Order: sequence, then C-alpha cells, then structure tokens
Amino acid sequence: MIEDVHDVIVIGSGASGGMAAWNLTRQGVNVLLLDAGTRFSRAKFWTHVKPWEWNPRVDRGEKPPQFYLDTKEQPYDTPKGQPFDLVRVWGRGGKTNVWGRVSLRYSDVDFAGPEKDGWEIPWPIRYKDIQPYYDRVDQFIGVCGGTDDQDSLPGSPYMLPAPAPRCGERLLQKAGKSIGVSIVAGRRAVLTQPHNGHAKCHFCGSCGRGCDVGAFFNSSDYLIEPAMATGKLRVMDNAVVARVLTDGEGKASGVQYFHRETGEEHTLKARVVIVAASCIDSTRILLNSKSHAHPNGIGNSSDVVGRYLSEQIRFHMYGFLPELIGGPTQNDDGIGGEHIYMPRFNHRGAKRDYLRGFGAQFWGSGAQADAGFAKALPGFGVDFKTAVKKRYPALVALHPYGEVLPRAENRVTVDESHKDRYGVPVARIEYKIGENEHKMAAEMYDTAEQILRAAKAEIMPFQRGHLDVAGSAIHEHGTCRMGSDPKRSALNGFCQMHDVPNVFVVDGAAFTTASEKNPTLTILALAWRATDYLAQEMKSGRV
Amino acid sequence: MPLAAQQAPLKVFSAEERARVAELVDRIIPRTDTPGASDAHVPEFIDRKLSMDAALKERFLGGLRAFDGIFDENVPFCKLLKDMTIDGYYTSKEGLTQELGWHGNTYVADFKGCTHPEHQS
Repeated sequence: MIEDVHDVIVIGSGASGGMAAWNLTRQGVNVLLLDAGTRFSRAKFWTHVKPWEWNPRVDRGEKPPQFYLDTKEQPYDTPKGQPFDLVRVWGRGGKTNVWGRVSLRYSDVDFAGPEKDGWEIPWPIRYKDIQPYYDRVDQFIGVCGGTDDQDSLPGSPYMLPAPAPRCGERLLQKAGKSIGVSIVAGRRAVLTQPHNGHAKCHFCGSCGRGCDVGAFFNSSDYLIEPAMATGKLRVMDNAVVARVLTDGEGKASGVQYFHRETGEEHTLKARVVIVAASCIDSTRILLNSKSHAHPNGIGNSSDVVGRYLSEQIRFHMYGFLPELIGGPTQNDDGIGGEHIYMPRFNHRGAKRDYLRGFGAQFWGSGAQADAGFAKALPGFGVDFKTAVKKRYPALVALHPYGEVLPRAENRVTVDESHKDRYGVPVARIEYKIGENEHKMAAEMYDTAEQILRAAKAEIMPFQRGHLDVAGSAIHEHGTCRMGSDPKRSALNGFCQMHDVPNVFVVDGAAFTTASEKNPTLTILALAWRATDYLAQEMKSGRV
Repeated sequence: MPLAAQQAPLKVFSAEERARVAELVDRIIPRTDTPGASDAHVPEFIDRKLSMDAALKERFLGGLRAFDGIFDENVPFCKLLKDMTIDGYYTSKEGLTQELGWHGNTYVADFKGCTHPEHQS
C-alpha cells in the first residue's frame, strides 16, 4: 500500500490555522487540517439565553456549547505559587468562537521597539512588510471602528462604520482629552453592516457565548468553510497532534496524532507541516518532537523554543460618572465590549523608568446583565437598593493592558514525568513578571485613576499594584520567536523554521515581542504573509 | 401557573430555613415599588448554589444558625449572604428588568449609542 503524502498538514483551526488553510487552498494547494475537536453548531449557541433562563435550562439537563478545554482532560503544570491560567478552545475555529474581537494594528513603535531599547532581539519585519496584509485582513474579515491614525496605532482605510459610543464612553473620551490622553474609536472585528456574505451584528451584546449569526470574525465560518468550498481542504476532527515527525535528515515528514475520543494513535505523511495550535500547545508539540536530528525538539538548535513566553499584565478599575448617576437605563449592549480604545502614549514625552508600553480597553461600561459592582457598595435595605439602582447606568470600566518583556527564563518545557491520557508529556509553564512590569503597572494605575478623576467619577475601591493572574489576558506569545539570527530565534520573518524549512509556526508563538495590543489581527496578517511565501516556495520547488 | 408551581423544589433548605433566608434577603433588598429579593426567588437561587458546593453549604448553614440578626458587613456570613443576594437578585428577571430597567441581549436594528448633546466632547 502506498501511503498518502499530503501537500500540507495544518495543525489547528483557530485564527492562524484557518488563515493558513484558506490562503493555501485558494492558491490551489491541497491541505489537510487537523482539528483537536469538532465543529461547534451555531444553532446550539446560547447567545440569546437570558440570565434568569440559564439555571433552569441547566437543571433540565441542557448544556451550553462546551468551548473551553477542561484541564482535567488536558492538564498542564505550573510551579507551586506561580499560577498561569491557560485558556484553550479545542474545536473548529478555536478561541475565535469567543474572542474579544479587538483588532489593532501593530506599529513600528512595536516592531522597532526592541531595536530601540536593546531588550532582546529585533523583529525581522517592520510595519511596511505587514501593512499590505493588515489591509487585506481588514477587508476580508470586516473590522469596524475608527480610521484615525497615530504613531502607536496605525489607521486603516478599510474600516466598517464605527458603532456609536455609549454615554459613558463619550464622557471618558472627553475626560481623556482634558488631560491629554487620547481615547479613540476602537477597532473591532464585528460587522456593523453586512460584509462578504456574513450577517451584520444585531447588537445583542452576548458575543462571549458565540454569535448565533456569525456577525464577527471566527475562523470556522470565515476561513474554513470557504476553504472547504474550494474542494482542496480536508478537515479531520478530534485529531490531537502530539509530534511532528522527521526523516533521517531532520526534515519534517508528517505528524503523529491521537484520536481525542478513542485514544487511537495514527501517523500521517506530509511535505510541509504548519503548526497553528496556539502558542502553548504549538510549543508543546515542537518540544515533544524529539529526534536524533532534533534532540531538544524540532527546530530548536537555538534553544529558544519554549523560552521568552510573554503574556500581558492587566487589571481593572471601575467608576460611576456623575452625569449618569440616577439617570435612565439604556440598552448599552452595542457590539459587545467597548467601542473605544486608549492607544499607547508613553513613548512620547519624558523617558520612563521602564521599557515598552500599555494601552487600555473599556468593556463592561454602561448597563450590564448583572450588578456585581453592588458588592462593593456598603449598606443594606432600601438605601442600598436605591444606591445600586442610581449607579447602574453610570458604570464605566477601565482595563489597561501592558507589554511583558521577553525573558529566557519565562518558559514552556515538557514534563517527561507527567503525561496526558495518550502518554504525551504535558506542558509546564514557568512564568513571572519582573521589575519592569511593576514599574509600568504603577503608571497604568496612575493613568486609569487620572482619567476617572478627570471625569469626576466616583471611583470604586481598588488595590493599587494588583494584577490579574498570569494568562488572564489570553495573549500568549513568543515561545517560537521569529528573528534574523538563527542562533537567537527559531523562525524567519515568514514563520519558517530556520532549522527545518518545511515547518512553519504561524500562531502567537511566532511573535518576537508581545506588545500591549491584542494579537489576533497580527496573527492573521502574519499567517497570510507566511502562507503567501510558502505557496511561492512550493511552486518554485524550494519547499 | 401559580408562582409556587414554577419553583424547583428546595434541595438544601428546610421550610424553616427557607423562611429565615427569605426574611434576611428581604432585609438586604426589600420590596419597594419593585420586587424584593424573595419576590425574585433569591432563597431558591441560594439553595441551588449550596446544593452544588458542599463547603459553601456548610459555611452558609453554620453562619445562618449562628447569625444574631444584626447586619454587619464585617461578619463573614453577612457579607456572604449579601453577595449571594446581589448575584441572585440582579440576574433575576424581576431584579434586572423591573428594578434596573435592563432590556438587553435582544435584537436591535440600529445601535444609537449616546444621543445627548451635553455628553459630546
């Protein structure tokens, strides 16, 4: 029997894997995509289940879609006292089913940052390299919001109409302006008008439960379905990839996977392997892919694979705006999450005593489907009830996000003594922030407080310096970073392994730095660029 | 359907405990011109929560038995009861729609946002 050799195997169906599969199949390349789960059915989403309907449904034995991977099924290790919250979605579209949709372009403040401050290696690309791909991604997936442009947040000419800001957001913009902090219209991958055959948003605000009409970019509807329609894509469900296999010369020859339900082991052959399982899971696969040619894991002669894990620091600050206290309740759902964004500004003006920067998001401002803030209000009885009611329409929320420097000791390893149900070593995540981040957090706290003070807000009690547990931003980067120097990076600027030219890593692992921005738009642009390059290399016979 | 028939049977509370909890949660969020906590089935909400968490159940019932009836947020049971009342009431249909005026999570043709000239920068 002659075993099939696939042109390209893509591991993972999220933003990066979906993009790789879509961009290659439309150029005529045959792709086999391995998905660790199955398709989530939009018809079964609980998008429009009201808060009070939730418990009775569960009690009747109904279940919302199980997006999130249970750590009982797939554990990972962290050192004692050093938690890292890893969020994984196995199944068609991955985390794009439930993502935050913030779609910000990186700028040369980000791409040239390391070169400027000398911390770790430079990015091998600049804004001009990726800008045409940002343009294509914006047009293809549909991003709504502001078209304005600043050095830390490049504008795009391809935005769908920005959703109107809510009252609290307008007032925060005004407050920011009064202290010289620019708060602009956000950029979010939500369709404020029909786009490329996808339905427009109906402003129900429940995107986090999956969109029942597919009105925001998700890899399943926007990339994988059209790729299937080409006839060039085959998707295999429940294929949990363990290793990239290599031939005698150390080139990739295929993959080993286990069936998620039966545990049965299989191998597949391929000319090219694209790793797109999300930062930590991709890294785990690479590190477990040990062979004579790759004793430290595939493509890891530099010993950088697994290192330089960079997430982001984040906290939350809340207040009530005086203009809105006691006012009428409005439907503030909008496109779900904020309509505004505070771009990075700390690269301007006086030099800071720390490196890199921060921005801020504002989701959860206005009337919400609960009143959790009431727990921070004192008292009982009618006075308490009245105090909650008056503040309910006036809530605003600030969520600053800051870059974490890449450090060699922040790393993912695989633990030979702890194996998953298939006998594959699990990931171990060792991650700590340092002095630089604490200094940055101080300015982040000052900024958030200054904005709220400028708005004359009643500020909810907060604990200065407190940060969310590592991993909470769900923005993992850097563990298979790109760079020009093969001794200090694993990939070139096209996400291709220096050591193994027929392996590409196209998810957040490929990033040289984390930046303060949400990475998905950049992941899509980098994966598009990488697979344009790959298609060319395949045509010319070099890969 | 009569109101009582809509309620799931109690899983944890005795009838006496339920009555006591109803009295207490109504002191936290009383009935005014809108429903109070027990109108919004907060005792049943708490009962359900306790049925799914043995440690919480023990803490709550112990606190309930020891409670002297004087509300003080520094007393752990008071804080626990208040927080659970907030969770239950402000996610109930009564609390969200009648008290807070929330009418979200629905189809909206066109989102208007802020239409107040005085809020413009």
